[in-house]
Amino acid sequence: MEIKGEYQIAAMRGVVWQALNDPDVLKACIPGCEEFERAGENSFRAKIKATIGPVRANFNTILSLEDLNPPESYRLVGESKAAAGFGRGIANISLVETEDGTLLRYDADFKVGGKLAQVGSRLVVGATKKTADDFFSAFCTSLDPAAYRVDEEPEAATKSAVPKTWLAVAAAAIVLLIWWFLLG
Amino acid sequence: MTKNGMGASVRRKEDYRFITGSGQYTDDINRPNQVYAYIVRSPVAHAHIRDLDISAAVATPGVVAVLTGADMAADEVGSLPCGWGINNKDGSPMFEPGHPPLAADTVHHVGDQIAVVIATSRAIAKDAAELVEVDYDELPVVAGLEAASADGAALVWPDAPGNVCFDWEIGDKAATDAAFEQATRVASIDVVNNRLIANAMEPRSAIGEYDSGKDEYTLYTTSQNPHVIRLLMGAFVLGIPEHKLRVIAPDVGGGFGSKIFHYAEEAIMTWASRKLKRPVKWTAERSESFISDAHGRDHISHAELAMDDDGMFLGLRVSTRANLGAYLSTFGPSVPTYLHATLLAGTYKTPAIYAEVKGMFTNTVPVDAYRGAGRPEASYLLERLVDRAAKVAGLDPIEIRRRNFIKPEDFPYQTPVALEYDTGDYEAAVEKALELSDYDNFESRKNASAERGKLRGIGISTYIEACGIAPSNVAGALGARAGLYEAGTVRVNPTGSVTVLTGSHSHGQGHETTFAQLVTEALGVDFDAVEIVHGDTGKVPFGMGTYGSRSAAVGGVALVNALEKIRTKAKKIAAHLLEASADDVEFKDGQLTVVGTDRSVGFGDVAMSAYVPHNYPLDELEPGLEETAFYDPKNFTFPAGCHICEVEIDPDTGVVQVVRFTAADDFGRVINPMIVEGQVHGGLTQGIGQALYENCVYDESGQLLSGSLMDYCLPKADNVPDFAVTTNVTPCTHNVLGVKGCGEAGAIGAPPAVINAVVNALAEFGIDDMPIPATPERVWQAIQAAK
Repeated sequence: MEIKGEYQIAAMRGVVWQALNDPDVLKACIPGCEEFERAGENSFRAKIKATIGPVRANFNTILSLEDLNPPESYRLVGESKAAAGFGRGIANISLVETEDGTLLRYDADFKVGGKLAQVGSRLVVGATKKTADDFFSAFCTSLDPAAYRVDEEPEAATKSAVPKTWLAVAAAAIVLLIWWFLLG
Repeated sequence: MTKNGMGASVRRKEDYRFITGSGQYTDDINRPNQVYAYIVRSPVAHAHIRDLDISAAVATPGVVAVLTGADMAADEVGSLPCGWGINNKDGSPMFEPGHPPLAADTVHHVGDQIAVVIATSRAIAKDAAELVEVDYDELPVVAGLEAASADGAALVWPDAPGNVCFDWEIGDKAATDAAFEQATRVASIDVVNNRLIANAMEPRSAIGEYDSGKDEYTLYTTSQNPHVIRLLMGAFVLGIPEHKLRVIAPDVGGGFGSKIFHYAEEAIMTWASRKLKRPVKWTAERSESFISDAHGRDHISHAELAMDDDGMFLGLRVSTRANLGAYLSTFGPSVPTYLHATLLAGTYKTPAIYAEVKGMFTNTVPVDAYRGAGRPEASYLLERLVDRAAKVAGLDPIEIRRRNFIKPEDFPYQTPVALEYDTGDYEAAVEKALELSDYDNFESRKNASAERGKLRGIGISTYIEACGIAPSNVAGALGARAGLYEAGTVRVNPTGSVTVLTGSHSHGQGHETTFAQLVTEALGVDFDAVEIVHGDTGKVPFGMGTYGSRSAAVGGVALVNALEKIRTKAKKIAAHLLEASADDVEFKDGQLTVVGTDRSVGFGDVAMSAYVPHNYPLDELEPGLEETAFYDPKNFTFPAGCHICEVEIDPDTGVVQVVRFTAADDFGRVINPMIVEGQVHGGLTQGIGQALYENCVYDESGQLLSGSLMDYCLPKADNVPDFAVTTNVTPCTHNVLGVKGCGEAGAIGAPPAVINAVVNALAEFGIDDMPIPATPERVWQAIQAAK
């Protein structure tokens, strides 16, 4: 499954690049991140408490940065493991200088396994997308409180004509169903 | 008819405890000093276990033990055995991989067992299981039949080239090829039989208990056949002799085949209970059932039917690939072979048939019997193909069936694929179904639907099945590694009440009622004075359990044979009491009477006399009144019938609704019509579920996407119509009861009837194929593509 997004940040590209490599900044921006430490020159180790639909788990995550091309782009390769399953992803992140500062673009591809896949990978797409959006949004606003998203939600724009309110209702219903199912 | 005897719709005895919540299921049982197990399962489909670190789990307060495959290997625990061997075309045996209850160094499917965490509570065990660290070295995955059979496919087992477990054939290839050369018309079809997950209401559960004083084991388990589990686990996995191992399968909440097999968890709990000297209990969570219960079906087939100008069948050629999963489940190899290809004659007189079946390994949960087991796959393929043949021959689907039916005068009928049908009347079943379904007025109903914007279709299937696999020596020659008889003991108690010990097992079928009816019929004792005991190897002498619709046809007949022995002995006792010859004593309605006189004695007095033998022929007869019979049938039984389905399709959404369903089934003689009807309703619902709703889906990396009841769609009450059910009786010729078995028929006959109806409804779009299940998306896409 693929996730992508673009954010406009009023900060110099070099500053954004620094922040993307700063464990403290990253830790503050990852939802549920309890520990985040440098594991090697270009790798990090993280403990993340996450709730994805019905699955609550502590994910041990290893992130490594590859194809570093400072200050323009890199590839982020991550693997999260928990008893509830695993997630694996690759994100290409690029920084483009603009008049107003920096345009951050990301596109990520990831897959899940174990219980995460079993209890509804359709749900995981939404949850993971939200996590990614939350991260980049937090990251961008940490540098520039007025940072904003410039691309449109790709699904809403191209794939589906279903009103968003309806989607939200459906998502809530599904979450309730899962809770009912797991507890019942 | 005796009141409450054969043929009476007696209400089910067992329902009182079920509907008042006083049933006793495995998870209801708690043993003193019991601890709880949670199984660590693989989240990946294929990997070497590089490292397994249990230290954090072991250190968790409340954890009693964490046991792994290495511990099992150290204790020389054996592999889970396969109960049926299949030979390849060249006569060589199939490839049988080892199946350790806890994976030794490699996992082969998502859900494969890696370790067991045992703690003082279920919650602690589950939490500690999260602390077990497994480092996987992932291997390439084949997650389905197409991936497994692709050129250069990765291998599930290095020693099984092409992922082939066996490449098997049946029938006369040369004669079939010759038939195709003569043919003037040929119909062909490609079908996928969708993979299913049984989803019994009660998840599997097991409690192992070890008595160190006596060196004895007890296993409580959700099984359809406790004696088989005792044999398989005792002899092959844990090396426990039968006299030291008791297996109890108490109330079991549905099986549908998925609880026949010997599962790893049974062996793990029994083994662990000895190591810990404490009872160990495990109960599956629903999401665990999805990745650990054996799945069903999952075939891809190509079939061709050769005909002459009149639409008479000349030859049938079938090639099937069957998914066996990663390991061989207990009866896995028998399902796509001897329970599938042998049924390809159907109800038709096709003179030449040849079928080849490749059993294939994939990195998925093992596949085994599920309600119908092989026969639904055969019936679906054949009944879809016959509908297509009708189009090719320009005949009505009913007319082409009538022309090709085996006629009543043809019985016994030897098919070209090993079976000999003893009896049947397929035309009569069709007549009954046509009348009951008001077939003649279908067009007016179709028009009425059209006025409401709906597409209406009608479909038929005239299925056959084979129940009560037998006889044992023939099954043995075909690869069965077990006997297929049944045992029954009738214990008449001193005051005349009766305890029956049966090797059959009820997990919803209602044996406690139907078997009591047989006792009432034979001995005239009150229905409430009969107790049916089943599911306990410590009480029941022996048994092979319940599967393949065999309970009445095999277990019921064993019981009747034991009852006959009781009747014979009772007559001798009565003859002594009445000072007459046993030949002159008539036993009727619970009274033993000297024929032509008013000298009579009640069965209760005979029983008392047998246990208080003061006035008793001790020189000729032993005291007591208890008899056992083992019954090994001479042949399978062959239930058959005609199912007619009517569907309405909403062309805007693709939603298919089954609006009418008629079943005219021949189950031979019927013990309890109400229970038979209930079995048919359940089977039909599962058949409609397969046809329209249920589908097990893996992604290409072997992750189960339909792994919960959100994504695996079971049929619900509003998905099925009010069924019109009737029977058409031709008694089985080779058992004394004349019964054939009714448990699976609905799941066998319904799927092709439903899909034939869907295709019929869509005929106006030129659609003549529809994958199963016919989900709204598939139907809608087909309509859009045809537009």
